[in-house]
Amino acid sequence: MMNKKLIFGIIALVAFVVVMLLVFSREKDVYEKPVQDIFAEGMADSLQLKPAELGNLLATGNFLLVDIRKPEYFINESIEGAVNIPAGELLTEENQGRLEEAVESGKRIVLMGANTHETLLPWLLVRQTGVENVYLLLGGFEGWKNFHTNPSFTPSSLEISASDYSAEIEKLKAGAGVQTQEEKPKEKPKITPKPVVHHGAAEGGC
Amino acid sequence: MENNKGFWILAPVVLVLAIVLAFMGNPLTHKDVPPQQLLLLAAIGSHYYSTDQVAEMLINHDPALVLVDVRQPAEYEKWHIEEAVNIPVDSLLTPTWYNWLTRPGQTVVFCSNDDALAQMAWLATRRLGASNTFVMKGGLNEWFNTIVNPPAPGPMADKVQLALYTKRMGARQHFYNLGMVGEATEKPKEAPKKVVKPTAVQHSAAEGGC
Repeated sequence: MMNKKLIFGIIALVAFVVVMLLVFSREKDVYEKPVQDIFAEGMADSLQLKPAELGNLLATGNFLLVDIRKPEYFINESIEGAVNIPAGELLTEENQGRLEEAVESGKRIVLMGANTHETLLPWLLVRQTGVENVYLLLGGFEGWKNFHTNPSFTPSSLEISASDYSAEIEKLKAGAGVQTQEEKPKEKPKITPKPVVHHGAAEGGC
Repeated sequence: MENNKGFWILAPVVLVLAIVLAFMGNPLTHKDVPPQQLLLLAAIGSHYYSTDQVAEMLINHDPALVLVDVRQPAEYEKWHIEEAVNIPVDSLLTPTWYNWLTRPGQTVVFCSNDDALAQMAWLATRRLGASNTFVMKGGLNEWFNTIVNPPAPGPMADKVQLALYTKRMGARQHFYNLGMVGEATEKPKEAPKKVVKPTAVQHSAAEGGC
């Protein structure tokens, strides 16, 4: 009888240790996907949203728009309905929970930084930790504003292809010295309008 | 009988150990740098090198610098920075290249057309534990716009901007034998004169009138 109790005691102790180990070793912010996926996920354009598409999404109301810029920018100006989670805080347990909750309720999550490049790494990291269906707003908030002033504006994709620079350099070489000197006088006249505009603003003040 | 009992104790212990091992996952993933750490690095932009910084390092023949073009070979052959080596993203994580890149004392700067692909290369290598990888901000497009064909400073340019322009013209001369150095030094001399243009003063006089 004593022996059996001892055995159960040992088993209980080991089980307790195992449970504690599992709790502490499985942190929430751990990668769920292999490293190689970074490239495949990053280059696939299925989860990239253009400003026009965001407009449509906003109309449906079924979204979680996350503004990842710093709070001071968010307070100043943002999109209605957006929530502010600064990029550095995206992976805290609380915010991970918010994102997962949105996924479960079938909402589309959209990350929006100031521009595409600021959003890229947070977007990839959130997806690497296993949150599915997170979209990136191409052009970020700057792109969104441009889109509003000019509806035909479409932000460039993630990797803008380089133009034929070797040809461009040849062109520059062909007209090197002369052209740049000719450009100088052309820029001179541009100077005068600028001060006028500034002074105009000041005049308004008086 | 006693032997049997021993096995009964052993069985759950082994089972428990097996479960622990299973949940611990791949030992390789344990080397991963936590995503939170990388997120903070990215958020403050400490992974960036500007094109000007890269140009300066190249001109000084910085022995620590390894400029890595992560585009596909076809794109690389079309046009690339002379000093850049081509390691496409798909072969970046192979042990040979990864170990070569992460040798201590090296500064690895990734570049691509824009910088998206380079940022992905940064993320992948950093996740695996590299601490010496960086990204050339804006990529080759930015390189062309700042080093190959820098915009002339505007009339309101301050000293810093003029100095930067002079530096870029020097770099352009160094890399592509484009533009005269003398020409570059002339420009800043002209520009400050423009800033002190009397026209501006005249306008303020008009303001006084109102």
